[in-house]
Amino acid sequence: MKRAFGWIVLLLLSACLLSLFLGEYRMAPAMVVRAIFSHSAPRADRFITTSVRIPRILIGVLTGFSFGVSGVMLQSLLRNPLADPGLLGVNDGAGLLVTLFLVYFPAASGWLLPAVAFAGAMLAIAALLALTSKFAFQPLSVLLNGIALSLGFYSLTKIVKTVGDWQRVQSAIDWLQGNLTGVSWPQLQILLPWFIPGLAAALVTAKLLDIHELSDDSAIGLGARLGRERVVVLSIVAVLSGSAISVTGPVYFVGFLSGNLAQRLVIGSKRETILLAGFIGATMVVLADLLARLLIAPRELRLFFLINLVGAPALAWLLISQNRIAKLAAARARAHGGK
Amino acid sequence: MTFPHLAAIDLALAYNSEHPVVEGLNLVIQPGTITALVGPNGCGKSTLLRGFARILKPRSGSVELSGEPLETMDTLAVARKLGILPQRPVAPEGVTVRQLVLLGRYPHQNWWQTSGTEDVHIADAAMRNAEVLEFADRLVVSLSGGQQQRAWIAMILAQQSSVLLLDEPITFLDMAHQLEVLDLLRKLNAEAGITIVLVLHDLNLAARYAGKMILMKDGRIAATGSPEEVMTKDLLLGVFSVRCHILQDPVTNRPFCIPIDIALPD
Repeated sequence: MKRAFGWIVLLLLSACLLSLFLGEYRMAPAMVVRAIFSHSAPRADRFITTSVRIPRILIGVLTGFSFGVSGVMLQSLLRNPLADPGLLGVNDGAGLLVTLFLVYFPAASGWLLPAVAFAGAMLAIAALLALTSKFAFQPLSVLLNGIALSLGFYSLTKIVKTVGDWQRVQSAIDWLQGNLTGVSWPQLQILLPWFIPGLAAALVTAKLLDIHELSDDSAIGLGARLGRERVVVLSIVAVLSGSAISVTGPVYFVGFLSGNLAQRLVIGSKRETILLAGFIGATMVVLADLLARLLIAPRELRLFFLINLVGAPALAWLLISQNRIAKLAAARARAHGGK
Repeated sequence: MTFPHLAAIDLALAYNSEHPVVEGLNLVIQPGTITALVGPNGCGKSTLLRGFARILKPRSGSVELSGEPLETMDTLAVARKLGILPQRPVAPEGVTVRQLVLLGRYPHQNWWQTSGTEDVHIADAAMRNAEVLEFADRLVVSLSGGQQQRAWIAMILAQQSSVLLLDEPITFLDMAHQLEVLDLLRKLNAEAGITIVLVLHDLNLAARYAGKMILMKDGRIAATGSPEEVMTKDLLLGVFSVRCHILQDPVTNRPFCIPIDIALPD
């Protein structure tokens, strides 16, 4: 487990370093060091390093971390390895509200964007809870309702884009791309006040997840207050994923992939799993962003195309194996005739 | 150790808006005994246990622990006195026996605390008691049914509660594993004086292990008392509509029933 942490952190650091050197404008390590520390370095070097690449890498780390942590939290809370903010409608809920905000209140400050995305994420989560609590969070019911919600929010977003003023819509479309093009220090400043308390709260509430993951009955037996604690955990997810989405635009699969990977690598407490998933998520986003910048340079790919390329088949594989488990459970329940 | 006693007072329990499954039920669980809840399918015995465990909130009436209604007590304080093993518990895939057992320490910890050395010692003792210490670092899902059940019992032992509620703890186990789990419960009862309430399907095993049997039918108590008082031809005929011979178990001298046939309604 310690080894897994070591490797992931090493991988993340290498990805960050590579992202500093590589790109359309390639820089040798010595140039990068000089650009950071010396005022005599060429202005272009200084600009690209300190105003473009470093903030972009840091934002990649923070947003990836947020998605990874959110993924594990949702997967444990819903006892569902398929859970991911993107697959449960959180992305599209945030997307709808951010689009409305950008189209109808374009003069308002960018600082409000994470708050708006958070509200959208909360809206999606509240709707999901209302739709699925009756079915005791059965994995398939949660997923299907999440997909339905996603499509609903997505369609509403489309309508807003169709009827809204086209210039303002264009800024919403840029945001909805799901990438890190053009981000810099201001976005990092917007992100931090959400990220730091969100992560701290996630680590503190991690032990709740250990209990909730068992079953409703066992959790109650150990003294869990299911309703209240679910709202707390889901709010933290909304803080982390909402604020990350407000910078990156809708991102799918990062939480799903890093959550599942971390759960398989860590045999330990949820706190460790959450941290590891954060590092994995950060690594994925930084790497994907690097590839997105490199592959068709000078143009940029949407970074989340690349993540989806990995995420989609992984989800399909998990659905197939889940389906097998569900069938076995159903057969067992039939054989024993319930209570 | 003081022995909190569990009581149902005019208790009604229901799922959602349905007609109550259990109604007007009054019952006191004798501290320090093994009590078996028995009865036909759908008689409300699991529902009653879920009511005792505060998993199901009373429609009316109340469940009291040492005279205090559960609903007004802090749920963590209840968890320190009352341990619950639900029907067919499922451990998450990547959880080892030791981790599972340490979760039993949750009601004793603050909201920010993680397991300290004292918790580890208590968990070790619980695993030794439940005879799963040798599997401590194996994944729960990799164990046999009986071993898994013992791991769960170790978890509720780590809770250090003096009342254990178990919902059909042996239903899906083979004969050897059934005895293994029930012997463990009997040992805990005899050595530590832990009060045990369990739902059982097998009348003969219930009569063999329980000091007291509660026979239920249609959400009400049909009979309660020692196995000798409850395992009678007339009561079993009335509750199950099955004619039985009642013999004496040659191993334990407890009553033992052999069904003859289903009594057709006149």
